Amino acid sequence: MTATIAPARALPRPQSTWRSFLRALRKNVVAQIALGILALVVLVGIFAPLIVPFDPATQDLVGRLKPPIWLPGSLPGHLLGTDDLGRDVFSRILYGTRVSLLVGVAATLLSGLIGTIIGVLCGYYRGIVDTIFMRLADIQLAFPTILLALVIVVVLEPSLTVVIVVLGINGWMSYARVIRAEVLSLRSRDFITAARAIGDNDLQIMFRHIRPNILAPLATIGTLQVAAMIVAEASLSYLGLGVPPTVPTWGGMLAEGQLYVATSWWIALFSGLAIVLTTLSINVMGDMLRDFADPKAYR
Amino acid sequence: MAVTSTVQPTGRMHAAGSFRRRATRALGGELQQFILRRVGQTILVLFCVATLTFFLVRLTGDPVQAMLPPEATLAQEQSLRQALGLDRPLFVQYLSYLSGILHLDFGQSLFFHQPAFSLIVERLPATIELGAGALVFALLVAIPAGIIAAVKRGSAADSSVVAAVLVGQSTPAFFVGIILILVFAVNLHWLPASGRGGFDHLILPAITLGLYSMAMIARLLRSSLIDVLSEDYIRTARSKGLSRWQVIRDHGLQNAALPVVTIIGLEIGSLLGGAILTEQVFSWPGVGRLTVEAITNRDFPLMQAIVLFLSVIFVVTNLIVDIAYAFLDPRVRLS
Amino acid sequence: MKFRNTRQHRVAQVSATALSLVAATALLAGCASSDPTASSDPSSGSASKKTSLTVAIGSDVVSLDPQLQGDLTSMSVADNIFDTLTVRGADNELHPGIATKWKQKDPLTWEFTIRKGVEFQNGEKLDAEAVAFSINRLLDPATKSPIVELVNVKSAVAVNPTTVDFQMKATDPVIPAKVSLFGGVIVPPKLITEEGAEAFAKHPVGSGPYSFVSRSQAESIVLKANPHYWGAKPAVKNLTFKIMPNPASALAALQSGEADIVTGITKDAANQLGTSPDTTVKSTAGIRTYDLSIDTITDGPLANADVRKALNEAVDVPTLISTVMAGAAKQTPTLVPSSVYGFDASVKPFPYDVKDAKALLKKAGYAKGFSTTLSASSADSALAQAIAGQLGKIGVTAKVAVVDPQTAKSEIITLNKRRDGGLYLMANSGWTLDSVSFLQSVVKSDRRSSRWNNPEADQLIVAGETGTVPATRLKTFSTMQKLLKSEAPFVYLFNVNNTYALRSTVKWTMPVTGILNMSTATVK
Repeated sequence: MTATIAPARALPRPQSTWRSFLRALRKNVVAQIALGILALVVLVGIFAPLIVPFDPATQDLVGRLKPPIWLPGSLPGHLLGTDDLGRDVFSRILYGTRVSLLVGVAATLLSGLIGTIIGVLCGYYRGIVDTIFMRLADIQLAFPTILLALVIVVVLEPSLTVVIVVLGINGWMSYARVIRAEVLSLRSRDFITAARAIGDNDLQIMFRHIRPNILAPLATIGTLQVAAMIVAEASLSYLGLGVPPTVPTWGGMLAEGQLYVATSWWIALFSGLAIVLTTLSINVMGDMLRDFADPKAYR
Repeated sequence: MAVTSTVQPTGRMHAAGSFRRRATRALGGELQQFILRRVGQTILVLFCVATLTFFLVRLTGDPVQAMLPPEATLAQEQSLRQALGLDRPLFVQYLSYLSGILHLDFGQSLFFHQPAFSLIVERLPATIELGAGALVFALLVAIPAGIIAAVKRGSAADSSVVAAVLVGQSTPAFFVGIILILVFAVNLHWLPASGRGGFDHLILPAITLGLYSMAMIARLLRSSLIDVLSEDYIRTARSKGLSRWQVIRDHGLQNAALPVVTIIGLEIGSLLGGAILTEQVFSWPGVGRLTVEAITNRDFPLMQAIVLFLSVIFVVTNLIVDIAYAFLDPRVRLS
Repeated sequence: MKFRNTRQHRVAQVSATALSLVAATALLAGCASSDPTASSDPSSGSASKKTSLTVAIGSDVVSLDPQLQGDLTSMSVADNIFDTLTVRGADNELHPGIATKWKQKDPLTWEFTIRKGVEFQNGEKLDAEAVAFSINRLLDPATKSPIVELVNVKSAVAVNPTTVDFQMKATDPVIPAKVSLFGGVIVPPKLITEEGAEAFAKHPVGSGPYSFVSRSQAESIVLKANPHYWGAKPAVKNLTFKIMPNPASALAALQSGEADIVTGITKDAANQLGTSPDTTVKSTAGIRTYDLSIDTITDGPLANADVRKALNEAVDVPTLISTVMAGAAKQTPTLVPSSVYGFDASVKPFPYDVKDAKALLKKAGYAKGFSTTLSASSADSALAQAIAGQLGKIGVTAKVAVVDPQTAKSEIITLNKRRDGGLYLMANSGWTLDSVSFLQSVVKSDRRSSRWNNPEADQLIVAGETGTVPATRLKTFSTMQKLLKSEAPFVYLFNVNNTYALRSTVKWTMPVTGILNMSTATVK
């Protein structure tokens, strides 16, 4: 019997895990609200073209900077007012949902993919490979993101894809660390030796034994990262390095709206609220996932 | 990110007996080897950062064209390029850059016509002040919040603390800054809108920068404390008659603190990065804004100097923490 | 993760204590070393409000050495400390500065007569030697000056203590205007030779109405009135320039009294102030001009003059001005704005006529329209999108490509002109107030930013740049503007006002060049 202090996480039992998750959800009102908001956001993202009252790109220069519908001076039909080119704020927020979700999810998947591959390589081969990648992580962490973002944006023309690449490259470290730790710990277990003895090759071992244990922390990190990516996209747009301004994004609207925040506050406020509500809901769900799946891990 | 490679985050003890014996015997040698190895790696990392920076900044554009108006003739551009030494072959520039670093000469800012190093050092106190203010704010709010939430776990107090903290984590920093300026400076006139000055100038920027860290620390302290409070030895202490608060103070906090301290180390790194945005919003004259200016102007030497400077701080901090852990935990040295 | 042994307790305790100590020390040190300019600056604290002025500028001064900068903000601050050979008056005409008289002796020599009795703020004499030194220092490659206007000057020679000759490489009729700013700044030769450029930049000494007191990098520059100034003594004795890049914060500072004048803002930003008896917003004529550059060289619809005229008629410039520019601009009929020497008022702007535009397109064979790209700097993104929206109404789909300002600038002057695609939004600020500066880079076919090949235009440019008879130059510019209208190689937009906000106690008018010379300012 190896002198290991048994880890707190249980052996994978998919069905009851799911059911206990639902039970926990039922008890937690905040999480229910969060889930509801997220569902709404996703639906809006999918059906945006069908439900927008105005084309988000249609300009009405004379009707620019008009307030939301419940304030004097507003234009009919424009629920949340118009922006500095007369475009409907509500429609742009609806369309912005698609971009924010797309960027958030795609960038998270990209960094998850990069991180997983690197984590597996490090944990499995150790030695020089491990050292190189961990030092690479150090180098990348030491490098200011904005410089990296600028270089990428200048060399490639600014676009949605470029933003996803910039954000994706930025976040792989958390995944790599978790996976690496998991692989390292599994290496020393007896059943690995046993598995090898019966002829399983390394890939099969990793796949079968590592996968169940990393799904939970990965899902947790991933969920929280989607939220972080949405906020990061907003920051990039604020600095002028984000998605081209013709594409409506919450971050772009926030950046544009801050110029008018004293008198035409609705542009910045509603786009900012969209970001906050969405990321808040994601964070609540992510927290629940973490509390549930891996209560002993802290990151 | 204080702990990247050498400390396994799960903190599990493997084959306790044999490691301990060997460790005690070879105490001095093991540690020295570890330190030497890590220092060597650190130097290598810094060298890579310096090289990578040198080539990456040259991808961003042309500082000579950034400096001159469009009416400049090609001849004038060439003349300025030559005077600034930017027409030399790339490799020659690279070697002179490296040799400069070894002599602690980090080049002259192309735009400001001053040594890059002195520009950074001039602005550093402002950023340190901002970072420290943010950290103090974060701790002042996070520690009580985390403790209350953990102790009153499951109650309304817990939920509201967690919710408030989550909002802090979900809001983009510059949005917070803009709203704070709008409310407290433009409308209420309670606090100044921008710039650095007395304590009142620090409040809004510190809150803006510290909000995210506050959230992380509070949540971590809460979950860490919850784990600790459910342990057997806590129950033992309680059964001995100690009050709940005494138990928390004497046993709970100490044990819960370590992961929190690790996170604080990590957050310092993210504070440096977040300072760039906050300094832009509040026109704070720190290194963050200098970075944006350097990038806007495509000022190669200044960009290189800033990146190197920040990397050194970051990487050396990592190194010290790793060595400290190795000193205190023998398992770490041998990994 | 629990650590129960005492070693790890110690780590936690020690680290926590150490971190809090570090944080506290840093905080205290930071607060102690920070310079609350309001209270610790003796001049602004003790002096009465009536003789102090704080001006908010949008970016920091690049260098206090006036010959190491090339932007209007740095020049604004320098214009208070230093003098120039000529000055631009409130009437937009050139007036004597350090030079009392000037004439073109022969096509390759300009003669300037230097004012007597002028001293630098450190007592050094300002004579023809100082002027010659300044010009030659500027032209010396070793100085690394980004100022390019004196490209046609070979060297400056002090003929006698009150006469300086500019020996020219080529004829340049605009020299008197060119020495009203930037290249015309006079610096102290003895000081620079003795102490070197770096010391001079740290503590600049000029002959102007204000002396340098102190500078806090990225925060403020403090000046005080020069009691030995040769000209009219300024009413404001203590002048502070505060750097506030964020317009919202700058305007908040204006409202609270932290700043007395806020400059470098758009009318939209100024409108955020609302109406208040304490503050005034002014919007006066400026020199920054916007136009769309058209790629007329590459084969395609844009090579056709009718198509280009259609583009001009499709853009509703008056509406753009009243909406996107919040009314703070004036339509320009061609490239030259009305406040500039050589402007021909008889050339009228293109009318806004969508029907006629569509007819022109049809005539050119593009009844269904076409697509192209419209590149712009991110600072002008709203304007670019508005223009693209208007072009869309005649069937021209202009895809808006926005890049950061520095990349935009490089793309414009790159030798590979086609990289920009069809259209790009360009801005020009010809502070010499001579038509040539609005034409030279973009019209002559061999210039780097030019995308037009017209031999007649080339000849006109040469005549404008080298002609010495004023009447002939005016005729040249007139012909040029008529040609610009008939060939329409650009889409002409407008000339932007200078918008600034002041506290109601301050009396000051911004000149058309936007230079912040405060010697004429008064505070009630």
